[in-house]
Order: sequence, then C-alpha cells, then structure tokens
Amino acid sequence: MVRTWLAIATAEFQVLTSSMRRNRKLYAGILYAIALVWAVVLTPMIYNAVLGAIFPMHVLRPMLLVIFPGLMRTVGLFLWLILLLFPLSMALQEIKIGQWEIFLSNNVRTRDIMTGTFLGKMGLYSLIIIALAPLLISPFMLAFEVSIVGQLLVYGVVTLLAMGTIWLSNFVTALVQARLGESSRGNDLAKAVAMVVAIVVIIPMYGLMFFLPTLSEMMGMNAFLILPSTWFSDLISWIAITFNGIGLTGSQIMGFSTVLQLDILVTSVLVIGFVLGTVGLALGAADRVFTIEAGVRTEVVTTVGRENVILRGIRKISTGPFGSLMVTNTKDFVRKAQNLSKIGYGVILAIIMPIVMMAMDIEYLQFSEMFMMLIVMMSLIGAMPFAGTGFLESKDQLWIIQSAPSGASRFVKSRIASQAMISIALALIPSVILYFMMNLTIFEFATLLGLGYVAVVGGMLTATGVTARNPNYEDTKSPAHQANVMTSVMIAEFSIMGVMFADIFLTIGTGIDFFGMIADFFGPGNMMVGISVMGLVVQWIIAGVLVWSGIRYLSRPDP
Amino acid sequence: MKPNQNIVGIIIIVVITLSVGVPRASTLDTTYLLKIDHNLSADSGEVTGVPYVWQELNGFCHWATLSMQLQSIGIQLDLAEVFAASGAGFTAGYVRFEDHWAFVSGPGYRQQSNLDTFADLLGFEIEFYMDTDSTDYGPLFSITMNSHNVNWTETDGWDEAFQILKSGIDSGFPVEIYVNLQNLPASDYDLFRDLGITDTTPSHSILVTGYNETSGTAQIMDPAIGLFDDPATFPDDGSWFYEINFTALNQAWFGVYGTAIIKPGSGTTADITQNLANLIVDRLRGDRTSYAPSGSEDAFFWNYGSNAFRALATDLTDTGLSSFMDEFDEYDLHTRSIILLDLGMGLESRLTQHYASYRAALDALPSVLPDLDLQEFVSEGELALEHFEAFSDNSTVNTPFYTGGVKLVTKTFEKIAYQYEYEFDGDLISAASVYEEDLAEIRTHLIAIADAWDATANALERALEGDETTPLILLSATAIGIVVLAIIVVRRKSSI
Repeated sequence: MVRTWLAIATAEFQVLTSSMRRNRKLYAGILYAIALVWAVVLTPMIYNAVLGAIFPMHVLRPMLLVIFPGLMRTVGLFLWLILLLFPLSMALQEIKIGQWEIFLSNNVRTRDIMTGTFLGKMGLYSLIIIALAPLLISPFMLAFEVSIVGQLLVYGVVTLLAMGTIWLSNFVTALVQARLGESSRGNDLAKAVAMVVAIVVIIPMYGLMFFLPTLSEMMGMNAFLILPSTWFSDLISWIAITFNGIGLTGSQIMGFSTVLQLDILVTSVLVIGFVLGTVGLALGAADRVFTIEAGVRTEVVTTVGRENVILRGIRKISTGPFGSLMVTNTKDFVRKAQNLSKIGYGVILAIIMPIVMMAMDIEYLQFSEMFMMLIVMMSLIGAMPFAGTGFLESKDQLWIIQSAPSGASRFVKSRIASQAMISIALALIPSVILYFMMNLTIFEFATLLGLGYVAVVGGMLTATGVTARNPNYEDTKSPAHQANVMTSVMIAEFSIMGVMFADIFLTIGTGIDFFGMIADFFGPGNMMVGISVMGLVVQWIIAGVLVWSGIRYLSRPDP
Repeated sequence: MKPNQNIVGIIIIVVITLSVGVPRASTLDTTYLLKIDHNLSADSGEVTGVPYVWQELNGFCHWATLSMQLQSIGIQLDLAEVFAASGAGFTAGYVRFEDHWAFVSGPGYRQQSNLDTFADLLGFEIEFYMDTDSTDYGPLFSITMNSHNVNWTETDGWDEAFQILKSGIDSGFPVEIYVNLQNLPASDYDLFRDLGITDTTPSHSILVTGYNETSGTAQIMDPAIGLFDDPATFPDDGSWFYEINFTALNQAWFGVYGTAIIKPGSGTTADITQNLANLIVDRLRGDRTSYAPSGSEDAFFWNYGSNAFRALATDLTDTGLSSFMDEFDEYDLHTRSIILLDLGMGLESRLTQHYASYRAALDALPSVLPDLDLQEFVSEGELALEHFEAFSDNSTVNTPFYTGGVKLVTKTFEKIAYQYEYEFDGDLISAASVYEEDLAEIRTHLIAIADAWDATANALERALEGDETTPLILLSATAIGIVVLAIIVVRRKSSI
C-alpha cells in the first residue's frame, strides 16, 4: 500500500518551500546549517561577550542558577499556550474544511492527513525552534556550564515540547473545525470561540509582561506541577543540573529536587507518557472526527418572536426610519456571537490589568494613578467590537442606503445611536467590577463610569468612522478588516495617551511645568483624571472628523 | 432481637456524650492583663515587675528578651514555650554555596521575619526601629530586613533612638535593643574589653526597662549574665539587672540603633492551634515557602527542615569536604587546615544550639497546644534527641577560646585537619578517607534526625487531623444514632 501520509507530507513540504523552487533541498540544508551554527556557536559566543562585558559570570551565575527552574516553568507554560492556542485561534477565524473533504472523498484516512500535514510542516517548526530557543537557553547553559551532550538533550526536549504541543494543537484544531465547519452559524460560533481562546493566551502574557515571578506567585509552585508544560520545563532543568560543569554539590542537587519537587525519572516518564499519549489519542480518534455528510449542524431554523422592551421603546420614541434602522442595527449586532465575544474580550482585558497589578501587591499603586490606564482600556473596549465588523454586510446594502435621501448620513447616525446604547453596558460592566474589586469610593466610581462611558463612546465613534471610510463588509480575514481594527484601536488609545506624551515633551522642551498646571486646574491628586479629560477631548475631536469623513466617503457614488 | 437494638442505640448515645471532652487551658490564651507596673516622673521612667528570663545558651539572647517582653504584656511564655510557639525550635536551615558552608539553627534563622510570623500568629504588635543611614551596620541590616520583607521605622542618631526608647518605657513597654558586648558595663564582658575588641556589630539583645535623664543612666535586664562562667550559671545574685550610663549605652547601641517594642494587639484567634501546628509541620518538613516566603524559595543552595540534616550528611564526605576546600586554594596549607577546623567547630556549635532549642520546644509544645493529643508527636520527636546528643557540646557555644575535640564532629574534623596538614600534605580526600568511619557515623546520626523530623511532622499532622475529624465522627455517630433510634421506634410501632 502506498504510504499516503508520506505523499501528503512531501506535498506539504513542497508547498512550504515553493519559493525556493528547484534548489529547495540545497537551500533547506544551508538554512539548517546556519541555524545549528547559530544555536551552538554564535549565540553562546554573543551572550558570553555581552554578559561578560556587563557582569562577570561569577557574579551573574548565582542569580541565573536560582531563577532557572522558575523561569523555565513560566516560559514553558507561555510557549505551550502559544503553540497550543494560537493556531487554534487562527484556524477558528476562518474555518476551512473544504480541503479536508477533498482528501476524505478520495479514500484517505484522517490519521494520514494529520500525520502527513504535521510531518510536512515539522521541518519549518524545528528550524524556528533551533533559531529561537538558544536566545533564552544559552545564558543558563553558560551559567551551568552544561556539556555538549547535555545541551543537545536540552534542545531535544525543547523540540519535543514544541512538536508534542503542535501535534496536540493540530488535533484539537481539526476537531473543532470538523464540529464547527460548514454552517454559517458554526462559523460565527467559531469566531466567538477564537476570541475566548485568545483570552486564555492573554492572561499568562500579561503575567510575563509585568514580572515573571508574579505568575509563579499567583499560581503557586505546586499548581504548576499538573501542567504538562511544567514536566517539559522541569526535564530541561534536570538535564542542565545533571550535566552541569560547575561542580554542584550533593546538597545543592538535593535543594534543586525540593524546588522542582519531582525527580528526573518521574519527570521523564511524565514527558514521554504525555507525548505518546497525545500521539496515540490523536491517531486513534482521528478517523472518528470527520463525517462528510451534512448533519444536523448545517440546519438553521429561524424563529421569529416578539421584540423586547428596549427595541419596542426605541420604535415608540423614534417612529420614523431612524428608529427602524436603530432597531435593525441593534438586533444585527447583538445577534452575532462573535460580537458578544469581542465585548467579553474587551471587558476582560480592562479588568485583568488591575487584577494582575493588585496580585503583584504594589503598595504605592493608587486608583488615581491607574485611572488613565483604565480610561485607555475603556476606549479599547469601545473601539474593538465596532471596528470592521457589524457595519455593512455587503455592497448591495450600501447601494440601497445610498439610494435613500441622505441615506449614508442617516445610516451612520442610527448606527452610532444604537452603538452608544450598547456602550452603556460596556462602560458599566468593568466599572462595577472594578468598584467591588478595588474598593472604590462612590465618587471614584462615578468618575470612572462617567469618563469611562465617554471613552467607550469615543472609541466607538473612532471605530465607526474608520470602518465607514474603509468598509470590509463581513470579511474578517481581509486586510481591510485587520487594518480597520488596528487603526481604530491605535487612534482610540494613542489620542488619549498622546496628550500625556505631548505634556512630557512640552515640559522638557519649553521648561514650563504642564503637569503642574494640570494638577493646579483639576486639583492635587487628580492629575491623571485631568490628563484623561484632555485626552478624551482630543479623542472626540479626532473621532468627529473621522465620522464626518466616513459619512462623506459612504455617500460618494462608487467609482 | 429488640432488646439488642435498644442497647446499640443507648451505647451510641452514651459514646457521643462521653466523647465531648472538657476544655483545657492554654498558655496562649492572652487576655493582655498587664501584670507589671510602671512609674513615671518628669525626667525618668521605669517598668517594674518584668519577670527575668535567662538565655541559658549563647545565641538565645533575642528569644529570652522576647519572652520577657511577651510576659510583660500578659503572654505567659517561658523560653522553652517561646521556642515552641514561634516554631523556632522546629526550624533548621543549611546553606552550601561556593565558599559558604553553614548549618543555621532554628533560633538563628531569620529572627526578625520569624518574629513577624509569630506576632501574626499570637496577635501581638511588633515595632522595629533602625538607623540605616548614619550607622556602620545600617546598610547591611537594611538589605537583610528588605530581603526578608520586614518593615521597620527609620530613626536618626542617638537623640531619635533614645526618644523611641523613652516613649516605649513611658507607655509601659520594656524595650529590646541590639548592642555590642564590650560596651556593656557588666563584669562578664571584661573579657571582650581585655581583648581590645572595638567592632560595633550588634551581637546581643538586652531589655531596657527604665531611664533617668538626671543621672544619665538606663536600667537593663541582661539575659546573658553568668553565661561565660565556667560552668555557665544562672545569676541568682540579681546581677542580671544593672545600670548603664548614656555614653556607654550609646556606644553599645550605635552599630545600628536596632530597637524592638512588643505591644498588645488583637490577641490570639480561634484557629491558632491549626495555624501553629501547620507552621510546625511545614518547618519540620522543610517547606520552602514557609522558610523563604519572600520569593527566595527557589534558592537551591539552601535546604530546610529535615532536608537540612540530610543535605549536611550528603556534603560530609571526602569529596564534599574537598570541593569546599578547593574554594580556598589561594591560602597556605596551615590556614586551610584552620578553615577546616573552624568548619567543624561552626557545625557543632550550631547543632548544639539547635539541639537545646529543639529539646525545649518538644517538651513545651503540649502545654502550648493543649487541645491536641501530642503523645505520639513527642515520642517520635524524642527519637532524634540521642542522635543530637552525639555531637552536642555546650562548651562550643558558651566557652570563649574553646576548640572542641570532645564530641563527634569537632573530634573528627580535628583528626582530619591534622592528617591533611601533616601527613598527606594538602590531599584532603586521602586525609578524610582515613576517618571515613567517623564521617559515616556523623552522617548516620544526621539522617536519623532527618527521619525522626519527618516522622514527627507526620505525627503532628495526624494529631491535627484527629482534632479536625472529631466533630465529623461525632456528627456521623449522632446521625447513626438517630437512624438506629428511628428504626427501633418504627419497628416497635409496626409490631404493635
């Protein structure tokens, strides 16, 4: 029998290296040679020179030795989550099962597809690992003076960690795609899930961003032990300790074993067991994952019910076409799971940062100092759900709107009105959560809610203006969509922060104390509130211009 | 059949009634009844009636002073009970890194940060004061206190430090201060003056109970008087209480102007038994977070609790000793031989110190935690004592210029150092291998202590679980009793 997986792997490799054409083998060989030289020779040399110039190794060594196991665990977890969840998140953005169905209709087994596509990409993955891993690991290899055999084993475990995780991620992605593919509802749900998955990645990223050990403190060293990433990280630590060239004493190795808690044998068994387990699981379950026939999941049943109180209220207040447009817009926005997950994502982003900061137990950090950061986050919450999506469904819709008298203007205004209504919830949820979490006073809560709402609406206006200028319709994979999201978020955030930077530069440049002036005007202790207010004014001005130009752009006949 | 069922029901009810025990008294029940007096006038203040606590062994001054302070605010804990209730007697550390090799006894391990934990546990307040800017040892102390996460109030020079001392006494609290020995006027310290020691490192804790600005003197309760006598003797002549003039006090104190005041706080909480027993279990087992809570638990060159003894045993081999001596390559053979002797002396003195605090704490814990049945705990803990005895020598701690050579550790090191210097010309592996049997004996004792500590921790955990499960057993027994009664009643009714 033909080895199908090999054929698929070869095809995958050829697609991957298509830009190298006929010389792909030669080029690939050269790339690998360069990567190996980089890992084994260049990185240690560069580190040795740079570190040696800053701190002599005998000063740096104790510190590196102490932080090594904890750092490995944190980085291992981070790497694991990224490798596991980002491919999943990316895949969910756009479900592609067409290719799989072509395979399956040609009597190819799912396990062959999975093995083939995985092995085909393995070359690229391992190249990336060989290039990146030494950046992190080299200083520790220098500190422990790990022998060449030890170093090779360490890189072997890093590769095993990455490969095992990518394999698992491939399997989970395939599983989710198979379940959510085909129907438009499933697609929408998949996008919503993608956002939720991204949040799981964000949390440890924030941990890393602020301070590495914070994460260990938050989770506790024991909690780490149940994570597979910890087994890989600990095995790396154990190899470095076992193959050390600095003469660690018996008691020091014993100290390491109480820090790591599991010995090298148990750790190795767990690592190998995990890899074999996931490979076995995926191969065993693969053929049961896919069904070609269209099943229940593709059926969409639409039921029409009575409109709720809010929507009826809108119709009552504004009886004309404006009210109808507002109702339609609100329904259209709230109906989509993707939009709701974006809102959830934004809200979680806004409250995670204060949580992490509080977990770090920074005593000097006051609410007044964090205020501006919260306002910036609120404007992000406002910008993200409304950027790109949920605006115009298609060009046909645009033509219908253009055909009505001042159609574009009325459409955008009604959009803004319904979105401003949704924004109330967006400002209220994080404010209330922070009120309880940070023990705010009523006055602080009112300030946060009031200015927070202004920030959310400012972000929303910016996003609407940007999207109106560059409508990407419902295509979330298009460059236009990515550009819209990035531009909206950037403008919304930096228009507020820009005021602070301007103040800094002006204070340095002119010698006039602008911060002092703001503090004088808004009262002592309210400087951040003052800068936020000024930032919001700037943000609204920019947003107003964007909305105005957006309306003009939409009203223009199609060239 | 029916009478049998009745009997079962009655037995269960009787068992439930009997198992509700009579509450016992604890030394930790703190009502903060001040049993001391204090007299104030315009230029003097004095706290009287503070019970004197002798430190018994060099290195326990801080704990003896603490016991006096605690008793002055109504917490009736003697020195042994302080070792038990603070967990210090069940604490041990061992560090081995580069040219550093030391066993750290419980009473010597992170005194200030452990005092914070102790204060939280018993609900009293502790205030630390130091002058870290203008004193010789201030910078060093501030690094240590910061790294151990201990807060203190910064003071400036004699004037401010004296004001704090004064206000403590005026409020009725005797004040602990950290001093050097050669400036204390007691004749016990003539020895240090004769040696011409001028170093101002604060190496001793004393309790200041009064001051008089007119005469320029302060009153001191010194826990170390009689310690350097041969043999060390309790000063029953009352010489532990003496006066010091302000000039000498300033010179004794100015190493860092370290001051600690203990004040009543919120009092003990209901779950003190649980918390203290858990602390002791963690300390005996060497839980890294309990020992180094401020983020340094990953410092692999430290081993704690039972592992401290195991780690010391692991390093006490010919190769372990040799790798340590490699760090001193630049010195001549004679100096290296002295370093080796010093290592043995250091280990034995710390183990001795630790033995005394552990034995006292083991003995005192049942009176500190009367709610727990600690019989098994004590008998398991006592298994370690004979092994400690093998290398415990009070003279290594108390007698100046004593070089050991009587008990196992110093005797072995003395022999190895001789071989190292005179027979094997600096070949430590060969020198140590001659006395491998002695080293093996030390290791056996250390590992036996480690095993005993683990067993003691397990026994305490079991005692604690017993305490926790009693209500559960009572509850389930009650439920069973009710069910049995219900069955009897139903059967009787149906038979009628």
